[in-house]
Amino acid sequence: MARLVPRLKLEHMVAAVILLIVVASVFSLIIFDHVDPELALYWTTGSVLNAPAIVQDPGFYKLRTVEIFMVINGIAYLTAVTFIIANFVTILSRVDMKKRDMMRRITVMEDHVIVCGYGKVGEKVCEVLDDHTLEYVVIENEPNVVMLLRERGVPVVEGDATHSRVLKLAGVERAGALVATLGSDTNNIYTILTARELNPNLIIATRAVSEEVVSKMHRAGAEIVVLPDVIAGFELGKEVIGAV
Amino acid sequence: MKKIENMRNHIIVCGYGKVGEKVCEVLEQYKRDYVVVEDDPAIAKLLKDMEMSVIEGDATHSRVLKLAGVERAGALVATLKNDTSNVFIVLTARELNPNLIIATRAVSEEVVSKMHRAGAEIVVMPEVVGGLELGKEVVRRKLGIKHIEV
Repeated sequence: MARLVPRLKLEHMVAAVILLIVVASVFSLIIFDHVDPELALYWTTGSVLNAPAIVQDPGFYKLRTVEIFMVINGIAYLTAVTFIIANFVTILSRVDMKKRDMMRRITVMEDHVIVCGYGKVGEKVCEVLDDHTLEYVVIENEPNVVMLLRERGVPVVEGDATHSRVLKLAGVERAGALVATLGSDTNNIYTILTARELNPNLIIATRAVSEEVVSKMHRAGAEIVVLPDVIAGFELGKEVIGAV
Repeated sequence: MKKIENMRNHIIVCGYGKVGEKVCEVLEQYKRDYVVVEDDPAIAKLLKDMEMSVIEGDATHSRVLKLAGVERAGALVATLKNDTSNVFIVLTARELNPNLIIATRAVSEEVVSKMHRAGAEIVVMPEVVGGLELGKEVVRRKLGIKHIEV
């Protein structure tokens, strides 16, 4: 939505310029060429709307004011048309090209990392991967987050990472590693199981909330299991003990 | 179970989720007196049944913190999931006891400076720490690097 505001402002500006030209033209015809106000408005509208037939008076085109305003008018039209076309092209490219481009980029990826879920944990994982210039695809099912990532040029597949179809879209068969960072242990386990079935050589890392699921995750096929809440609880406890 | 009124220099743990549970485990190991503040009645009851010192209520209220003996306490750990609630707890606790050692969990990196300004000495970010760890491990496996600086 934020992007709509400047676009609207631009159109307002163009409209304001055209209005300004009309007003200035009418008044200068009245003041400098002593034309009737009614006729001045008639002539101006006629020439702004590009209807030469309206202006039959042969004296009309001889007026210096008219000449100047014809030139300004022409420039304004050119500018308006350029802006409108430019806007049209950007809208097209933003909506369609980026998405199609991204899907094409994902289909040629190989040995990449698939990051399931773009919450706080997923965001941090992507940062680390960026630091080491590793290629990755994000799977996220929140449309707002997907849109944001797409705008930033991050390859992203919209959908539920527990579905094998979605994992396939992210190229799980050709991928080198998968990181499951979803907030729910059961969803992460399901994602691991699905990914392991589709690619036996995948390196699978996962987040876990509860300590009891760690063995289940290993059995499901995860090599790396990290427990953010447990680590943090330990850290907080240790720090407080040390400080008291 | 020791009475809360008789506790001195004890530790107040706000919230008994996954993080709070782990904090209590560590405190238990070091045989420290602690009080849990939890507003979910079911969890509070469970903890009471386990003979733990529990105050049932919202830790952002100063009355609840006072019931937990914040004026006599040595430290407070805020482990709620919500950054704004944790900031509020930190502020309230700091007002009630200027000598308290305050540790808190944070979700977003942007609130860390706010937490410090509110009066917290220790700030830990589970999601950020976990994400970094996961990322590092994957990179290590993929690139075969032993040590990774992030």
